[in-house]
Amino acid sequence: MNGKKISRRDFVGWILRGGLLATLAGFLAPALSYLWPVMGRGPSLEMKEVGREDEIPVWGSKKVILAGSAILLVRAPDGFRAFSAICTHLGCIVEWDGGKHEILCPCHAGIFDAEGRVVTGPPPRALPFYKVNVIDGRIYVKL
Amino acid sequence: MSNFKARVREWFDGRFEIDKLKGPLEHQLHKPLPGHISWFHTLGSMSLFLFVSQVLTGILLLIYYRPTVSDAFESVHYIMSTATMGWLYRQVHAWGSNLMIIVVFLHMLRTFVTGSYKRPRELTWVLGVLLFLLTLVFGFTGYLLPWNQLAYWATTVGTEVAGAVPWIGEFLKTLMRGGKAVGGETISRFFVIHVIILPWTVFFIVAVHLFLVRYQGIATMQPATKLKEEPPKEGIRFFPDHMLKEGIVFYLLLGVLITLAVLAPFELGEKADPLVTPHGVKPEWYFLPMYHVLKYFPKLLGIFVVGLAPLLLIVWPFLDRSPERHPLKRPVSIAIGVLVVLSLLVFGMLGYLSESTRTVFGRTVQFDIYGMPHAPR
Amino acid sequence: MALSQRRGIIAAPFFIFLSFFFFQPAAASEAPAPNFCVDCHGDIADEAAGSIHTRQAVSCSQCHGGDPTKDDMEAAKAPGTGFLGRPDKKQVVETCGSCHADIERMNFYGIRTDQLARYKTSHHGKALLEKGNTDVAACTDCHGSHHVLPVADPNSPVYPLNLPKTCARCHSDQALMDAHNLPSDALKKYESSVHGRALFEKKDLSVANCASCHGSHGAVPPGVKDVATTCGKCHVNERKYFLESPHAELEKQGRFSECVSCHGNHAVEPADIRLFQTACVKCHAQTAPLELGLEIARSIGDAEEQLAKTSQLVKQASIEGFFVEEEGGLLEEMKTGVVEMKPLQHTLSSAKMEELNTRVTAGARSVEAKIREKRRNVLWRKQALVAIWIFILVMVAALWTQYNRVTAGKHKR
Repeated sequence: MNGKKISRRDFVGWILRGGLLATLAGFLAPALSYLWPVMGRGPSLEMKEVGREDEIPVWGSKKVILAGSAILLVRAPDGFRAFSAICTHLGCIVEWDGGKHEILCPCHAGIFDAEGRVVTGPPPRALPFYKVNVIDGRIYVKL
Repeated sequence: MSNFKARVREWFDGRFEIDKLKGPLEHQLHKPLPGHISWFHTLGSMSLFLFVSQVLTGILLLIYYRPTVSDAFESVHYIMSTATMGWLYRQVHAWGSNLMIIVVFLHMLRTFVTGSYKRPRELTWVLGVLLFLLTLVFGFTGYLLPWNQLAYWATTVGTEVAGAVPWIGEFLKTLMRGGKAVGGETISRFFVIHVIILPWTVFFIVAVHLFLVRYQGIATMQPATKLKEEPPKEGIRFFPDHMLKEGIVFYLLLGVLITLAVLAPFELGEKADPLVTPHGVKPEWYFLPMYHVLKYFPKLLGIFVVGLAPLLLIVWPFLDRSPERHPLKRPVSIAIGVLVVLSLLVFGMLGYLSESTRTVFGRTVQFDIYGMPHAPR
Repeated sequence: MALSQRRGIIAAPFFIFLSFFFFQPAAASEAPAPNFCVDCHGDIADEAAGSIHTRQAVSCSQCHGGDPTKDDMEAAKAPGTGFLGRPDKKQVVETCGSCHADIERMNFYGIRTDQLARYKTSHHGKALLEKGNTDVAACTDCHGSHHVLPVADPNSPVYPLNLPKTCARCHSDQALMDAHNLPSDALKKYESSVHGRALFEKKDLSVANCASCHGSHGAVPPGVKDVATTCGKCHVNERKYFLESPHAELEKQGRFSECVSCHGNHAVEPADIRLFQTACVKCHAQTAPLELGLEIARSIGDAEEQLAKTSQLVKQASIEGFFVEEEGGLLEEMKTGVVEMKPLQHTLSSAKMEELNTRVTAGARSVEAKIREKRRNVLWRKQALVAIWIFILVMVAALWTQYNRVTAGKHKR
């Protein structure tokens, strides 16, 4: 160091120049991070990924939570079906019976068939269902 | 570094006659500004800064926003919750729109107080009023885009008011909505207006407005006469002097904007439901004075009264014949100005309080449709 | 050929063709057989007008005998016509049964034909047919006589909403019930019960009514051993789990009236956790079973408290402005766990209950962690804000210094 003191004038100048640069960088950096896509989501905002095709056997099931609501995923030989897992009687969460290919409600023995229609018991309506798409071995449910 | 700069200058110099520009450019940057230049004279640049901010944050939001009934709400939700720093850009854009309306209005107010709209700058004023009105249209069209309950119903109310205009009202309403009710067609139209038509329109008008300001120079406090204006002989320069002041206000405004974005974020609320009307639906705050005034008049008269205001604003330089610029020498104009600002505040407040129940000093008070308080039944 | 002749040749077949329309017999259906009963008994005919029997063209004589084709009263009620007049209770049962138990006759209507057979096994039927007791209910007492409606018709006295009041016509009559040593407060108890409130207030038709537990035509009070099966028709899991409990053996021996011991029969209340303190002591004097009961009660209470606390937390977070869909989903899972605990407790197995409780707790921890993370992010933003303001103030100071330096001596405001 040659021991020269930076004059006040230069100091302020440096702050100003550095500050402007910092401001520009402060604008640019978050914008760039914003532009970089967030991966791991479905092909469109409507479809939510709920699992992989190979983790559910035929006539097997999986329960997932989507948008705060319980969904029951069932695999039939001809494809996947997604039902609201909330029983239409008093709101208990239903379960899949793989042996009988039926959906059971544990609260008052309501039974739905593999299409969600009421077979017997107190439920007044069929289970609402959602569209399912399988792309590249991944299962997507459209809410 | 300076060698490089010299070489760049040489490259341009050899092809374009830079010297011809140097003179006027230096004149623009260094000519003295009138002595009364104050902090209030930074409001114009702040309006420009906010416009640029809205454009930039708007472009970023456009990357993820989808203008359809099925996707709009979810896309804004995505921006606010998933996209990196998305929340920041949404909040800055939302707060920026409110601040821009305030700052543009204050800039207009400053111009009014300093009498800068008088001869020879009438056109600059007219373009400025147009810019203010276009800013309001920006706000109105942008408000619908998140497609939440607030957006849907405020737009329904707003387009209903447009529908009350005599003869062309129904036609206007259907044209704005793209149908009988607010829906996907409305989003499309408002989106096009908000994202392409208005930005370019405002850009060009701002360009002309700025050119006129630069070309004619800032108004002094001398009375407006038919003779050519005398520019100030000495005073601070625009660059770097006044710009430093603007820099200070810019940083403070930026700070306010980010603070509002972090501490007072706008909620997304619930997705628009055409079957459920929330109680006490009102337009956004900047339309409240007009909305409230309409309540006092039968439909036709109300539209006339409210439509008169922007018209008067536009032709004001042609109505105000006094040559004086100094506020203390124009009691009538200033009185009118004060009256207008006060009535905006009063009617805005009444409009805000109307049709609501609030607790004031521990007592519950019900405000009726005119904003008058009553004890609860 | 003359013009008039030609016209005649064309017109004639046309008129012959037209005549077919004037001499057609009236409408496709057969003319109804004359029914002269209604000439005198017009008011009854009006009453019966909307009934299912009238709609199916069942005539007066099919229940009352007599000859409806005779317009003379004496002739209509002559001995040979099989005139019954007003049938007594036994005759009512036989008359109704003559059609409704006839399989071939009922075949095309698609309704059951076992009502008579069941009635004969019921307490009503046995009292009437074996002991000649006419205090009991027969067909017309519940279904009405002239204005019989299908069970699914909301105006039928045996429609689920109306059924309890129909039974109560006799079973709430204190004098009548006292004479037979039967309680007369069943309806009042039922109205205050979970089932009664669901039926009368919430109009839930799927809930248990008198016939669901007692049967309709074969009405008997379920014996001690049958209660469980009766309740278990709908409360499947509760019954399934009960069968795993130590009480199941007792029930088989008839020493423990499964559901009724703790929940009552007519006045079924929603099961309360305090039952563990009040019901067990009725049989158990030792501490061990009582302790077990309290342990189970604690598991349930614990899980419910966690659910309540976590719900409150999620609600608070949503008020603070966070998006809480994921947390809401986890709450649903916790709620399912808590709901599952209710039937599971019938196993009287503390281990199983604790397992569920652990699941609920795990959900609660997960939600808490997520919300803590979100709150931390907001805190980070506020800290960044402070840093940004420090930077801004430094810049403002620098700009102000530079401004003063640059405008020193110049004419300025």
